Amino acid sequence: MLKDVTFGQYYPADSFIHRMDARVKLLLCLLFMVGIFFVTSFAGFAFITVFLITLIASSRIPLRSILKSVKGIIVLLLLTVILNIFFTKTGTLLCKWWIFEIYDGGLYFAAKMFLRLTYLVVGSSVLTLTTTPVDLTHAIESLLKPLKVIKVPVHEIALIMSLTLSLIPGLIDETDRIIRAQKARGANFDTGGLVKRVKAFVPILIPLLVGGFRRAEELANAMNSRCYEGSNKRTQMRIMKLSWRDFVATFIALLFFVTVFVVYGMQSKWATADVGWLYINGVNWLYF
Amino acid sequence: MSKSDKVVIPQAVADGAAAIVADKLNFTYNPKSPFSKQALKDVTLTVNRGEFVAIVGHTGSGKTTFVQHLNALIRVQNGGLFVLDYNLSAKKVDLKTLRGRVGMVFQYPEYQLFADTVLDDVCFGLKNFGVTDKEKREQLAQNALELVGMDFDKVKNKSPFDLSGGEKRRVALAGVLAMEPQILVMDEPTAGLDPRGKREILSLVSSINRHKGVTVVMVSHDMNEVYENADRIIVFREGEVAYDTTPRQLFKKEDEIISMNLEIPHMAKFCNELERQGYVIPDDCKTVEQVFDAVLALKGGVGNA
Ligand SMILES: Nc1ncnc2c1ncn2[C@@H]1O[C@H](COP(=O)(O)OP(=O)(O)OP(=O)(O)O)[C@@H](O)[C@H]1O
Ligand SMILES: [Mg+2]
Repeated sequence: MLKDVTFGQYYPADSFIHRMDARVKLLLCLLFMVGIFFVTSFAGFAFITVFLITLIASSRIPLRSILKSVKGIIVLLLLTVILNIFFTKTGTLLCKWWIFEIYDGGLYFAAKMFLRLTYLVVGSSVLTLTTTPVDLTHAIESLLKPLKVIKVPVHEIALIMSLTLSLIPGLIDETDRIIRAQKARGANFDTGGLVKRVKAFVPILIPLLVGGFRRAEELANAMNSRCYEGSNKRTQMRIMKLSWRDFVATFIALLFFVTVFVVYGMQSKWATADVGWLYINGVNWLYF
Repeated sequence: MSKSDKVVIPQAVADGAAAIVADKLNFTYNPKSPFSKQALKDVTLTVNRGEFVAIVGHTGSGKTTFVQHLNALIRVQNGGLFVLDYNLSAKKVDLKTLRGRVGMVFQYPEYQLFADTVLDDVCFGLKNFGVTDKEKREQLAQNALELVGMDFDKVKNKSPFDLSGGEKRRVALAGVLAMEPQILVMDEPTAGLDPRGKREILSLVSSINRHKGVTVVMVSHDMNEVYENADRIIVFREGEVAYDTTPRQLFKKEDEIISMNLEIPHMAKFCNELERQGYVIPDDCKTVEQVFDAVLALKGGVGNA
C-alpha cells in the first residue's frame, strides 16, 4: 500500500540509460530542467516530446511507472492550469461568465505550464527510475567535491543523505506494520471528522517516532563501535567511471538542447514578447 | 476474489466446527510489477474451534502473509477464506466486529504501544470496538493485565515506555486479550524474549486456549515450543502448505524436516530414538514428564527402572 509511491523509486532493468554514469545522468537531468524553461513555443514542446519518448523507450521503463509519478502531482497540475486560465488577462477575450473571463492568452499559458510541469516530472522520474538512490547520492557527493575547498562538509552531507535514504524503506515498512497493528486493535483511519482523523494518527506517530529514535541510536552505536570517521582518507567502495555511453549521451543531449534553445527558445521569446502576437502576425506556422 | 453471489459455505464452517477454513488461497505482493512476488500458493487448511495450531516454516515462506489474512489486514486476492462466520473473500466484510473477534498479536508487539499510561493503551482496542462504558473498559483491562501476570495497581498509571521489554510485550498482549477474542492469532509472540519470558507467554497462551476455549494460531520459529504446545503443526514451504499433521507425526520425518531448514525439537529426537530402540511412545506424550511416565509404564511401573 505505502510502497506504491513510485516517485523516486528505482525500476530495475538493463538499458543504455540504466548503465550510464549517475553523475552524467544527474547533470543532464538538471540541464533538461533548466532547458525546459527556455522553451516557449508549442513547436519546441513537440520537439521535447519526441526527445522524451525516445528517452523513455530507450530506458525500457514501462510508461505506467512514469505516469504514476505524474499522477503524484496531478493536484498541482490542475491548480496551475485553472489559475492560469482564469487569471491571465492577455490576448482576446474568448468567453465571459459572471466574474470569470477566459482569454486565449490564458489558455496558452495554461497549456504551456501544464506541459512544462509534466515534462519536469517525467524527466526527473526517468533519472530516479533508472538510478538507484545509492548511486544518486554518490553522484551528488562526487559532483559537490569541489566545494570541499571552501570547507563545505561534502562527505558528511552525502553521508546524511545516504543514511536517510537507507532508512526510508525501513521507515515505510515500520509505518505499514504499525498501521496494521493498530488496525488490528480496531483503529479506524478512514472515517470521522478532521479532528478525529488527525487524532487517529497519534497511535501511528508515537510508535514511529519512538522506533525512529531507537533505530538512529542503534545506528550511531554501530558506527561508533566501528570507529567511523568521516575523514578525507575514506575511499569509495564503488568507483564511478565514465564510459563511451556517457560521452555519446552527453553529445546527443547537448546537440538536442542547443537546437531547441537556438531554434525554438530564443526566437519564440521575442515572438511571445508582444502580447497577442497571434493576431498581429496572423497564423505563424513555426510557433503556431 | 470470488465475485459470484452464491458462495459455497464449507460444511465445517456451517456447523460451527471450524474456526478457519482456507480454500486455495493465493496471494501475490505487488502484482504486475517487476517486484511481484507470489507469497501464497493454493493454501488449503482448516483450523477447528478450540484448537491450538502452530504455523512454522523457513523465513519468507508466507506465514505472516497468511495470518494477516485472518483478520482482513490483507484482503483475499484469490481463493476462499472463512473465519468464524465471516466470508473474507466477499467484497464487503464487517471489519470492526471481525477484528474484535480475531485478536492479532504482531511480531514485537511492544513497538505498537503509544498511550500515556498502560491502562489507556490496553483500553485502546476496547474503545475502538465500542465498549463505551469506562468502568467496564477498566474492568476488562484489569482482567487482561492480571491474566498476563502484571500487577494492575502498580502498572496502570505507568508510561508503557518505562517498562522492560518483556513487560511491554505483556502489556501489548493484554491489549489484545482485553477484547476477549475468539481466535488469537500470534506472529512469533516469543521472538526476542529470554527463556523464562518465552515460557511464561507460552503457558499463558496455552492456558487461555485450554480454559477459555480460545482458538490459537501461532507462528513460530522455535520448534521446541511448538512441539510441546500445539495440537497440530502446519508447515509452510515457499508459500505452500507442505505438511499438516500432529507434532509427533511431523517430526518423525527427520530428514525431510531438516531439508526444509527446520530443526527437530529435543524431545522429538529423544522419542524417535526411543522408538528406534523398540519403545512404543503414545502419540500424545510430548513433555519430559509424559515420556518418562510412558517409558516407566513400558518397563513395568515405578521402581523397576
Ligand atoms: N510488503 C511486502 N511487499 C513485497 N513482498 C513481501 C512483503 N511482505 C512479504 N513479502 C514477501 O513475501 C514472501 C513471504 O513473506 P512473509 O512475511 O509472509 O514470510 P514469513 O514466512 O512470515 O517469513 P519470516 O519467518 O521471516 O517472518 C517473502 O518472500 C517476502 O519477501
Ligand atoms: Mg513473518
